[in-house]
Amino acid sequence: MPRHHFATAALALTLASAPAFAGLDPASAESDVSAVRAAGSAEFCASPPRPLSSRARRLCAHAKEIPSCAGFVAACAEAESGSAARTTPSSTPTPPPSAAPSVAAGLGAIAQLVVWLLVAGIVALVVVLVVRALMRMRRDVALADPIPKAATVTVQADAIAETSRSDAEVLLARADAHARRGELDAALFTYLAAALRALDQRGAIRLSRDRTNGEYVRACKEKPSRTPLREIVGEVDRVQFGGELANGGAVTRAAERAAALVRAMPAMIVALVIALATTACTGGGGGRAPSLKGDDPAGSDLFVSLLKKQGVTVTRAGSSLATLPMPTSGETAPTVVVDTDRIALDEETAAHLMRWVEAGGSLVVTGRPETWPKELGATIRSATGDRITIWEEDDDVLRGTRGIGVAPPPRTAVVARSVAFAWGDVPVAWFAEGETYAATRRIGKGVVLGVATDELLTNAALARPGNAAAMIAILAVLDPHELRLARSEDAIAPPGNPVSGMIRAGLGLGLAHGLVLALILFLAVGIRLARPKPTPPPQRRAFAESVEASGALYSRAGMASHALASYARFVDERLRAKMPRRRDVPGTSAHPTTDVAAFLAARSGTDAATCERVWQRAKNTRPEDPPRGDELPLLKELTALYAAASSNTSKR
Amino acid sequence: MKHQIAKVVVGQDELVDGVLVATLARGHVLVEGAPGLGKTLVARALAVVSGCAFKRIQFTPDLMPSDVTGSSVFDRQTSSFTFIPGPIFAQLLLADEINRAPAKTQSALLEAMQDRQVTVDGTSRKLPSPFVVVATQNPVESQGTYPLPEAQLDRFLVKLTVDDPPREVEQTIVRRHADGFDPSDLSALQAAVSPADIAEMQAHAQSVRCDDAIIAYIVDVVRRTRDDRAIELGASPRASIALMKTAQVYAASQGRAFVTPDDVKPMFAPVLRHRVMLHPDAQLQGVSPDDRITEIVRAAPVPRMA
Repeated sequence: MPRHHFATAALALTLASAPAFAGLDPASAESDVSAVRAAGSAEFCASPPRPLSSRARRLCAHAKEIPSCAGFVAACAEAESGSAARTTPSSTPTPPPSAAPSVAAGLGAIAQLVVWLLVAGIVALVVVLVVRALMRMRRDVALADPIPKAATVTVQADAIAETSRSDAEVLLARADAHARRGELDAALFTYLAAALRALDQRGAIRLSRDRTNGEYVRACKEKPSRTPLREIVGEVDRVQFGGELANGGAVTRAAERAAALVRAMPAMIVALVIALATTACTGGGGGRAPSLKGDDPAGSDLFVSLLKKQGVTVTRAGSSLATLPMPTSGETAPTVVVDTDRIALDEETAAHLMRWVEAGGSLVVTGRPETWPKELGATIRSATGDRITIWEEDDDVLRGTRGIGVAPPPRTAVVARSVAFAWGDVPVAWFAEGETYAATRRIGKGVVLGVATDELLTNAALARPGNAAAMIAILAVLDPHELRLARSEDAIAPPGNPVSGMIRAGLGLGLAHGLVLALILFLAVGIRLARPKPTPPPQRRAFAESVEASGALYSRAGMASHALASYARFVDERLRAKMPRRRDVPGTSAHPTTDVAAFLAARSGTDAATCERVWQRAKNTRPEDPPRGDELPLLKELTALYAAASSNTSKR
Repeated sequence: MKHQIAKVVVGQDELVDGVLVATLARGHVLVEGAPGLGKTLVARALAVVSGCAFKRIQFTPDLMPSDVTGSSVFDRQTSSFTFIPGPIFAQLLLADEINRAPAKTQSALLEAMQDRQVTVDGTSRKLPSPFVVVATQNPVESQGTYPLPEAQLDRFLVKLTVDDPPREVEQTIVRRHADGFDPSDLSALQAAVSPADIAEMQAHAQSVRCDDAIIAYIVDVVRRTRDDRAIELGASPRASIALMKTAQVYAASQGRAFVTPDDVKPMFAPVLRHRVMLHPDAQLQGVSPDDRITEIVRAAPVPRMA
């Protein structure tokens, strides 16, 4: 026993100061394992999955030592013979090629061809959809409906709008309902609407309220669909424009044709959806279904059952290790077991785990030491032999206090892989040459138990006599009352957003496919729906409203003088154009040929003084003059005079 | 009839269809196109195929009304005036370059087109039945012409435009001539129908059912020509009637006893293009009547379902 192993005893005493848990008992471990195996919880001895996995094959060294484990022995023998056949092909005669491999090869080639055809088809479909959508966009631009005038909105426009909104299947069901109720005309029309809607959804036609039924037939890009559509159109036209009554036969024929048009889903789209769904679900990778019955020699079912027999509560971590709540003082934190051979800790999770240990947590880390968190500073070492010795507190410290006189033989275990590590801390198990197999290290308030391999957690290794007691003895250093086994998904920090979560869950490819599909659908269909609707033209103001608005604007702007001056210029121009030449206006002393006021008086029949006053005031007003307050009445007077003068002028 | 005409006319299906539709709808045709596109040939071929009496008048600036209608000539032997019928007394009259004659002569012809009778020296004389005028005019030349006023244009049921044929069609035409085809010799054609048959077809076309929804559609489009900002003078109710008549003929030609929107739509441009007068601004912008009619038709909802 090396001298430094006394430190282990000191650690054990330190840990023993924690709340007492008298569960783990190495002495009863072997009987517990036997009981568990007898209960049938470990089927790996009877029917291990064949061929054995690489992890299981590494455990074959234990097979022959496990009692009543013929199945595992046979599986190992098969694995060894297969391996030998691969490594020494010349030593054993190669069996003649049977038909099965050639058939498989042929099927493989066919499958590959099918996959390539499918990929090519998908690419072609995508290209066709995009090109069709682009062409439809151009066509839509060319066929864009001018803004309809308000007076032209009719019932028919509503009907076609409903056709655009409704789903083809819904319309078909509605038509069926009409037919059942005996509303044959409505059924006939709705069957046509369903067929048109379905063809529009597939891009075969473009619904537009200015298109006739015949134009739909002629423009239908699906040539096989033209005939049934033409027949439906013929029936509808006969009823709608021919004045005939719809009969049951016509409705039945229309129903058959409409159903055929509506439910004709291109097979390629189905294949695309299936391919996308399959690829997304598998995530591009494969994997064997996990063992559920303890039939995997490399599984940990026996380990879990053994601990339960020992009275330890064993649970799954249940959540990411990156979210482990920090232990508080006075609280007994559970011991977390992380097998780094199976679980790849990301940096964030590893950092949190170390902080959790520093705060008082207990961690068991197994697996190759180079895969442990870097903060633990473990370096791998080579070891000799396959037998390890486990320290027990009874060995050297507690023995004297308990008064045991004779030291029992040291507890040992046999491992298949001789892996050791250097840690510089307190070893718990070591090889014959003293290389550390398991050791503890105190970090902050917590402690880490490192085990160089995860072998002793597996069904096959634990079933070997002596190993279960050794494993329990190693774990007894931490004296756990609750063990939480981390799963692979627990080693990853929770995603920051849904997208990263889907990517981590292996759904990244599916997500990408979904986005591409959504883009295609948008280009094919949605872009038309997403296009902004033309804004209705602003209603033209009546002339009176326009004048009132202009007047209000002038009023708000305080531009009464400007308005009066402008109107005066307008009247001046108009009246001078109408003023007679070379002769005077009878009844006036002024010169109406040059005097606008006199002309106004003469034509409007108003007295000359009033006209002179109004005209002089208006004429002499400058746009920049400040308003005096009489502009509006003056404007009205001038307007009345001008209207009267114009009226009389035109009569003459 | 189309089959027979196709023996001598190549690549003018639209023109042939339009002339046939107008004939069966008891209307007259104005054909606008550059010289040498087969307008005269189509008219002559139609006359032969329909068994109608064909006359041609080449309109010139010095053409007098009496040159069209005919006149009374003093007969010394009988000491009385004898009426010598003019070329208008035909069943199919080709009025070539109608816009080269002065308004007086045009009016004489157009009056006869409307009333289907000619009054000379106070005596009215019925024109033969069927009576179809196919008038042509050149769209390019303007000097020395007398454009038909809008009121007179309205009397033509349809106005057809003849464009240059596609390259392949033109090659076929030249090939035919190279093979000895003589357009003045239409002996290869045979009368497919008689004037009586045409009268019967006219009566049948008139009996084709035209639903109220179709009439509303026609009226809707015609009224839109009056509300269109680019059109200064829209189509008259006579245009609505013409549309209905031509649609009836079209429907009958498709073997239907009722009119559908598909029968009306092809008729909009031929019937309306000479009945709308564009606003000068639109003309300056290069807008053609066909452009505006197309836009108007696109804006009009088609009667579809109740």
